Parts: sequence; structure tokens; C-alpha cells
Amino acid sequence: MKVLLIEDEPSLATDIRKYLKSNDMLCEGVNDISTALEKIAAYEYDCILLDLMLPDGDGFEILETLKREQRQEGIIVISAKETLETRIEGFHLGVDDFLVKPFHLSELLVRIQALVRRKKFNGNNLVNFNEIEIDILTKNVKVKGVKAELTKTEIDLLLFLIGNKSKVLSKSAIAEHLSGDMADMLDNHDFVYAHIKNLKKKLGEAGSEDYIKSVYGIGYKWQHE
Amino acid sequence: MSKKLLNKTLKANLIFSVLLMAIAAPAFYFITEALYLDETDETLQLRKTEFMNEFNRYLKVSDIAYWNKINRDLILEKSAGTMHVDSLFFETNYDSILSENEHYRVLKSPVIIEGENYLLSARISLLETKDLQENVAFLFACILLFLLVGFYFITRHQSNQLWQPFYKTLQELENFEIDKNTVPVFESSSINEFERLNQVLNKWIIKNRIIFNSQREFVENAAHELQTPLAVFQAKIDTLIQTPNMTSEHAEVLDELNQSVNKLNKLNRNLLLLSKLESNSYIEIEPIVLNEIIDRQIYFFKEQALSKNIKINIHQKQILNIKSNPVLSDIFISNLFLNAIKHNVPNGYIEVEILKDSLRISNTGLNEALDQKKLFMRFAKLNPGSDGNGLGLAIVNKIAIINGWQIHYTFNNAIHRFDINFKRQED
Repeated sequence: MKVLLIEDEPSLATDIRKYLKSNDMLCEGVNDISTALEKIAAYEYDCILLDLMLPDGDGFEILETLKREQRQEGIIVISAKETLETRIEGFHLGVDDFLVKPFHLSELLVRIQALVRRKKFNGNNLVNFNEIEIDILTKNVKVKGVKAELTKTEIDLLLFLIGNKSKVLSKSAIAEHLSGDMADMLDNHDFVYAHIKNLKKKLGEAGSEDYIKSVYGIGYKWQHE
Repeated sequence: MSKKLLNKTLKANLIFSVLLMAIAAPAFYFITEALYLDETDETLQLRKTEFMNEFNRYLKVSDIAYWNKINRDLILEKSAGTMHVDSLFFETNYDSILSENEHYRVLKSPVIIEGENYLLSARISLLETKDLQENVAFLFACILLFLLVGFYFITRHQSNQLWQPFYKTLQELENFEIDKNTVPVFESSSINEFERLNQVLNKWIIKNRIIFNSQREFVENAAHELQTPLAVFQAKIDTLIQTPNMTSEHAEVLDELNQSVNKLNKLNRNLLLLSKLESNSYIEIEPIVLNEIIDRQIYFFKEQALSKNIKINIHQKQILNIKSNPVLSDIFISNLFLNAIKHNVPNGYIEVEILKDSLRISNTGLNEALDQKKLFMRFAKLNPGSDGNGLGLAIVNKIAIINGWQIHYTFNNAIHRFDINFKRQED
């Protein structure tokens, strides 16, 4: 999977590239509009991550170019300044998703995965991990071909864990992912533990291997030895 | 109770007029009476002099009876000769023609007719005192009435015309709120004082709005500027926790760092939300069924309540239709619910009642009423043990103000209750 990251904060760009690379993604980074336009003209990507505020102008210029050329890339705007107007204008110009800074790298990763899945595999909505199969559209989870009864939140959690496989996910990252819009009002992350416990139990009962590991007190990790 | 300016002026005028009339009416009466009496006495003296000059010489004793017959008010009486000077006095006689008592002023003067002593008695009927009093009183009452009617219309006219710019300015000020985007427009006035007032107010409002806006913008800009370094901070921690074979001490430090940056992120986003609320960023309004918001979010609330084993009971007695921005109404409801969960006690409960115009959220909690004054203030941590940033209820309150909703907090028997009245209160 090829991702183009257009971000002028070098430190953040490095971390994003590193995180995505270790999850089987090819991530190129540029830090201004002119270089970004050159890259877009020369290559095709699966997904473009765009910071709207760049040293040589605002990112809308890139969005307009992509729209004019009817490009198929999925676009996620990662921005510190987000208003209703920029959101509406962005969606008109073909933006698929908005992620407001600051965000968890794990969240960015699953958003890219979800977007590329939507864009690329029309009709094929299956996510597989060894004996586990998740149908994203029908919200069905099968372990070794047998249906496991998971709640919506548990499926969401499972996808988040598998999407970030072999990565340590902090409790706050999981809590924010699961609570969506309400994340900003939440100060308690205790509910994450309950969901992890239930998911582990249900997958175990369905005959799955135990992939969820607790990492010190920080969080959890989906791991396959 | 304050009174209208018009009434105040009118009242002062009224008191002054009545007092003036009360003094002037008797004074007028006495002066009129004295003048009249003076005039009467003079006339009597004139008649006497006329009699002395014209008739005294020719009149004979034998004529007296005849004289008295034709002169009703100037008669001659026989005298003992003891009176040597004129005397003036009052007298009341029964008048057979008018058949009532008549008051007279009488002048008696000694005369000599053919060597005999006589008294010339001249009299003039006096104006009835009662009649005079009545007439004076009536006249003055009429004057008073005309004065008051005049005052009323003049004052009203003045109030309408002269004070018009003042009332307009007053109304503009009453409708003005510094955090709303409308600026009062003062009409220019030809009256110097009002023009000065408007100019001073205008200057004052512009200055305050600049201060208010720059303060709001400062918060917004500061929060925005913090987003990027916070994003770097967060990304570094996300990267750092991937380090294999960490010691448990490092893990502990990282966990604490992660929690802190998380709090910072939320605080910053809530501050941004508050400043956006103040700049009226959420203006699109649509009809919303509040029951549906709760139905949509209740699963999440119950999940959050689980770790404290709190029961949430929703009583949807009626359908509550509101008009609001959908983002704001969602935030409003979730903040209220999460607040009720956050400040609850283990094994507590939350009762929610939805009526036609109102929502009631009651929850168990600390057995101590919250401070009403600080309840909706920013960063007012009412429960020092909690993890919250003290912005939740401030946001709730701000959204309520924007929408014209009323929030009422009560505490009774360890139950904290929030009543929200969604009937738009226009002031």
C-alpha cells in the first residue's frame, strides 16, 4: 500500500512514516505543496494524508488538482485547525476523512486501512487474521468458520487491534477510538478493560488462539508469535 | 419600583400646582372681598355726600315719609341727636321680596332737617359670601384642571419627542449582549446630551467588544497553536511505547506521560469548543427529537456506567422536540449524562425523565450540594477527587444559553438533579 504524507512538521512526519512503514505500508513524505504536486504528477497512491496548513500555501490547492484530474486516491486531511467550513469545502473537494491533531498513530492507521478498503475492494469486505474472519459490512465474525457473537463495540475493538497488529496500543488510544465523538468528554478509561476482557473471552470460547496481550500497565497488543 | 420619567415630572408639576392653588384661592377670596367692601363704603360715602349737597337743603320734615317710601336704600330716621359722627356697619335683614336674609353694608350719618335731628341711613346689599366662595373655588378648580391637562400633554409630548432618542438608546442597550454578534445602532440625535451619550456608549461598546473578541481569539489561537506540538507529543509517546523489552519503570513513566498528554488534548479541545461556542460557529439549526439522541447514545452511557455499576433508567414519558444545532445537542446530552456518571457513587443510579418541554436527570452522588455559583464556571472543580477538567458543565451551560434553554440544579437527600427547560426563553 502506498501512502503520500504531506506534512510540514518534520518530527510528526517522521513518526507517522515510521509507524505506517512497520505496518506494511510504503509511506513517502513531503513538506510543501510544490513537492507534493510533483509527487502526485509522477506517481499513483492508495492514500494521501494532507495537512492543510503548509509553508507555501494551503492544502486546498492540492485538493483542487486531485479533483480536476479525477484522481482515485483516498484523501485524509490531518489538520490542527478544523472548522465546519473547511470540512464542508474539503468534502466537496473529495476529502474522505478528517483527523484533527492531535491524534493517535494507531487511529490514523486504521482510518487509512478502512478508507483503502472502501475504495479498493468494492464488495470484498473481509478482514482475515489466521482463523479469524471479519465481514465489515454485515458485522459478522467467524472463528474457524463458526460465527462468534460479538457486540458492535467488540467488533470495532477487534478491527482496531488487528489493524494495529504487533503494536502496543495505549488504553487511551483504544478508549478514544471506541468513544468516537464523545472521546473529548471522557476522563475515565476503565471501560476499555471490560471490553478487552469480554472480547478475549468470546474469542477464546469460539476456539481462537489468545492474541491479545496486556503490555505492562500501558495497554494491549495483538500479537502472533 | 422605579417610575417613568414622565410620571416623575408630572407628579412634581401636580404637587406644585395644587399647593399654589391651595394658597392662591383663599388669598384671592380675601383680597376680592376687601376690595369689594372698600368700594361699597366709598359708594355709601358718595351717596351721603350727594344727599347733603342736592337734597338736604330742599327737604322738609313733611316730605320725609314720602322720601322714605320711594327710596328703599337711602332712608331718613328720627334721631335722639346722640350720634354726631358717621358709622359704618353690617346688617342682616329679612327681604320680603326675595324671601331670604340679605346682608347689607350700612352707613348711618346724622343730618339736620328743619332744625330737627335725623339719621341718614344708606345701605348697599352685599355680595353673598357663600356665592363668592363658591365662584372663586370653581374658577380655581377650572384653572387647576386646565393646568394639569396642559402639563400632561406638554410633558407627554416632550417625553415622546425630546426623550425619544433616549428611549431608543435604552432599548438598543437592553437588547445588547457582548457575546452575540449584533452591535447596537444608535440613531443620531439633534440634542447635544443624547448625542454625547450615544457617542460615549458607542466608544465603550466598541472597546469592550475588541477586548472580548481578542480574549476569545486568544484562547482559540492558543488552543489551535497547541494542537501541533501536542500532536508531536502524542506521536512520540505512541512511538516510544512500541520499544521492545521496556523495563516496568519505563513503562510506568510512559503510562503517566500518556495520561497527561491525553488530559492536555482533551482540555485543549474543550477550550476550543468553548471559544467556538462563543464565536457562534454553530449556527445551523434544525428540528431534533431529543429522545432519539438519548436512544442513540444510551448504549455508550450504559457502557461507561458499568465500571461503577451504576443503573441508568430512562422514562420517556413524552416526545421532546427541540430546535438546535445537531452537534451541540449531542454534546449537551452526552456531557450531562457523563457528568451524572462521573460524579456518581458506586452502585448508584441515574433517573432520566423526558417530558414534552423538559428533561430531568437525577443522580446519586456525594451527600453534599454543589455550589450553585460555581456550578457552571470554567475550571471550577466541584469534586476535587474527580479527573475532570472542569469544563463539562461550563460547555453545557454555554450551549443552553445559546439555545435559550434554562438549567436548574437542585439537591435533595443525596440526589443531584438537573432540570432543563427547552422552551425557548426570549427576553
